[in-house]
Amino acid sequence: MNSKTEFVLTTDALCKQYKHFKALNGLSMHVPKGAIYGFVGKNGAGKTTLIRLICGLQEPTSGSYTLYGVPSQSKSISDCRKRMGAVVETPSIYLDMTALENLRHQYRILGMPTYDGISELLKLVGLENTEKKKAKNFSLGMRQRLGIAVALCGNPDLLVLDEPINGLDPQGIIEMRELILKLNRQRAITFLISSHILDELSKLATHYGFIDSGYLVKEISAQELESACRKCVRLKVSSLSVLCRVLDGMGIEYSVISDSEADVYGNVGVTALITSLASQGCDVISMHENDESLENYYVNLVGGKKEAASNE
Amino acid sequence: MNKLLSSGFSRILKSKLFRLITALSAAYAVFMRVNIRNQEEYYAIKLPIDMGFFAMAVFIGIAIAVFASIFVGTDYSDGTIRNKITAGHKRTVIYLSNLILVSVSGMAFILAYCLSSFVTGAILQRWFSDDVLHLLLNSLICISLTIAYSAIFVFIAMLFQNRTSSAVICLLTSFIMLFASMSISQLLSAPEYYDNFIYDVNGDIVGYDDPIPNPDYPRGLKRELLLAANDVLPSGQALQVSQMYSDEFEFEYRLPLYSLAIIVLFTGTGIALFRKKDLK
Repeated sequence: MNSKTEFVLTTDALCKQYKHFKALNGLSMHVPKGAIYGFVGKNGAGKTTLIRLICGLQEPTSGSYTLYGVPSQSKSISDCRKRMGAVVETPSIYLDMTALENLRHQYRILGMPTYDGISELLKLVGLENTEKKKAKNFSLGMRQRLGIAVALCGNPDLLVLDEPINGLDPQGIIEMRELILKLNRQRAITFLISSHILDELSKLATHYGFIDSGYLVKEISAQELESACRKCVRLKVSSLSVLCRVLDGMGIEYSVISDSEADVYGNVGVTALITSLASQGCDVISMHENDESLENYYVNLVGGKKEAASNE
Repeated sequence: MNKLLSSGFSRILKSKLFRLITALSAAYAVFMRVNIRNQEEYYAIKLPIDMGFFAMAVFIGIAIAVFASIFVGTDYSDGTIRNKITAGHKRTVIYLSNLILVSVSGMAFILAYCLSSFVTGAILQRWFSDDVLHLLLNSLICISLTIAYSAIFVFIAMLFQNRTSSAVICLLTSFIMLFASMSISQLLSAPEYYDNFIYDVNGDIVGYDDPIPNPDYPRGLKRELLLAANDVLPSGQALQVSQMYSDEFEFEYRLPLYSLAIIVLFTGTGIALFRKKDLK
């Protein structure tokens, strides 16, 4: 991220401590304007805690954050929050109200002069035909979409979604993904999405922040991540020892996956490699190109950090 | 504040619980009126319409405990309190708006009772026995104790994020307060002395001796404390108001002041704690 990048949200050494447990431990992050920022971490890493702090539900123990450049200690931070919407953990909706009533209620809370735009919002999230059905009778996906519609009241520039696809069925996941992409592209809404479902996140995110034990291990754009993720060829052979000997001899980098498989990095001269293996009596059973996934990257990153910590 | 009140009132008007308590209050007034009418017929007397006019005050604590815990607790259980904070509303404003909404709802319950009592009384009995001033002063005590009750139960409901827990605690508190005040009232109304009659062999009263002191009669500091508790507790005030009617009315100026003290104490402490509270 270059110095001219405009940030919607930044945090600086943010800490949150619950009695003896540090949920956030000096977390610093930067969410650029217009980004879909994937906030990645396992359960209990501190993702929801950070979102709670940003939403004003909790106060940081130390450190600070800025929202649209306004520091968290400023009195105008409450006004600034009017420009953001959030779905924290579960959708914030009245279960004994219909979708329309929920949106009208939120319009009143925001002090909107008219109910203009509610029907468009319902259409946008695909709930225009729910009529008198109460939210308690909605499916999880419908509730999640209604939660987003409520968060969209007041036309926010920043939408914070905490685990938006948790518990959704495959169709619901696709609909949620399409909705997020549509809102990002058509309304230029910046997204901060926390998730531990990495495969899904990789289909959306333009930026990533990897959190572990309340600390941001790495912040990277999707482009940078793509170039950092190395391509490899996964080989399954009849003799792993022969494969290792041949690869060592050719000076090619590799990693052993199992007793018959290995990932081979870099540009592999396939003909030369197979000829060498065949000459030493090793058969190639299968061979396919393999991208290092976001998941591998995350595991290496977090594992690497832990190893470093244990070596210290 | 106006935005929260506007959204809150629209929610209250749609609330089934609010409608149910209002309807029960009105029905209770009819029951009380019919009861008084039956007494009139049985004893062949005429009772003033303002008798039993504030009987609802005794139960308003329970009604507010139920309503406040469910109304405020739903904001926690459905997570909708987050929408208010994310919409930029300050915690103090959220707390005060809830206090106003619950207080107005409590007054609506009393109003439903009074209106129903008035209409039924006008049909079954007669006009008020005395001037309207007494009625208004009694109403003032009723309103102040309603707000005091609201302050206590909003305090509990805002600090307990679990709706069921807060409902149980609010209800228990309301019953404990009511039964405590009933016990205090009973103690205070006990006679200081028992009559000491002298009987002849046939059991007829032939004279009086010095009265015998009642050992259960609270005296000295104990009586002062019980009197203070009876005046300070909203439940004690409610019992006093419900038993007052024009013939024996004496306005206690201290009662609304005690209520005011309760409102300031609970709301001030509640706001201070709620501002620091970690919400989920």
